[in-house]
Amino acid sequence: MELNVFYDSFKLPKTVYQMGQIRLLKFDLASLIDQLDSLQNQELVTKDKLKVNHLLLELLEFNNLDYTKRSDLILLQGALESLESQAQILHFSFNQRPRPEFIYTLVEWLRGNIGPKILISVGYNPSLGLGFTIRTDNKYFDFSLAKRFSSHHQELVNLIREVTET
Amino acid sequence: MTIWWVAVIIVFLVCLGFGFIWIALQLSRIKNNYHRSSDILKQIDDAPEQDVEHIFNKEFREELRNRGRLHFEKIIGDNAMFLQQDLRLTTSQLNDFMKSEISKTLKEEFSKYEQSINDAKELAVNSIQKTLSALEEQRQSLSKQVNEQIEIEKQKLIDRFESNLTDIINHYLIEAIGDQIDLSDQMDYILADLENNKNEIIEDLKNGT
Repeated sequence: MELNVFYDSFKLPKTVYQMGQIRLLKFDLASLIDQLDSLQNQELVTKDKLKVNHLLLELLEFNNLDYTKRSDLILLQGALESLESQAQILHFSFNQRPRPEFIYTLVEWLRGNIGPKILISVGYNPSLGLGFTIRTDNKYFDFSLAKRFSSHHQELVNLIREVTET
Repeated sequence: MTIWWVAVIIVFLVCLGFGFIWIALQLSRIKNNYHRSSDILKQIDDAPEQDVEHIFNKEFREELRNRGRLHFEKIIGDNAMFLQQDLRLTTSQLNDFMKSEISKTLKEEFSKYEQSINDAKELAVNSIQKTLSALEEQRQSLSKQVNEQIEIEKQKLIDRFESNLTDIINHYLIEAIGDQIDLSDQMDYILADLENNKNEIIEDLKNGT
């Protein structure tokens, strides 16, 4: 299969969402390919003889790839390299460190509505309060509560004046 | 004519001379009479003296002297007594006069002193009142300035509060409920915000790549 064709259909599971994970997967994949290369010459390769990182395993299974086949591993390697150079990354900031389930739900929505290969980075900003912010290469989106208040600033001022006057 | 006149004049002068001579003779006669009478009077005067010398002898004179001395002493004593009485009276009158004069002078001086004290007191009171009124004016002015400044500062604080209202409310909300609302509870709102701005995000990602 051509790499371009494979890359178009290449999908990421929800557990793979950061660029750091992509790099780690590349490293594990290279290590797996080395393992495969060392075993290929001797005997029939079986799955129980290969040590595979669970994340890499998930990625392989998610893309219906066989980790005992070197060709699949090479395809995946190419796809990961392409992803590393072309990935679209959204930088999120929250006031708490999100749980994995939250991130998975978010990533699922992003990949279903924004792009299938979206990666994210998650930052921690305790002063943010409720809400979150997103930063792309060119823009900054503020969805925090403070931003919401600022758009209703005059209403808040009028409300406080009413309360203080009474 | 001239001879007549000369003759008249000569006659006149001769008559005048005789008149003078006659007057001189008369005057000398009067003088001689006077001297004679004075001698007689003197003789008359000397006669009693000679008799008095014969009557008032030495003892009689001594007696008279003693009587005269006693009388003199009595008169002296009486006069001294009168003098003493007068002196006492005069002294008491003088004392009374001095007392009254001194009292009067002292009263005048005291009244002047009291008046000067009152004047000084009045002056001091006026000065203090002026100072108080000046202080009151300054206090009012300062109070007005302070109130104005307070109002300005209050308005500044209010303006600053209103301009930073969102941050303040955000801060208090974070303090109150920051840790109690989980991200999972916010998921719906997060996804709603993402949905509302989906196109913009996609556009930006496309432009970025």
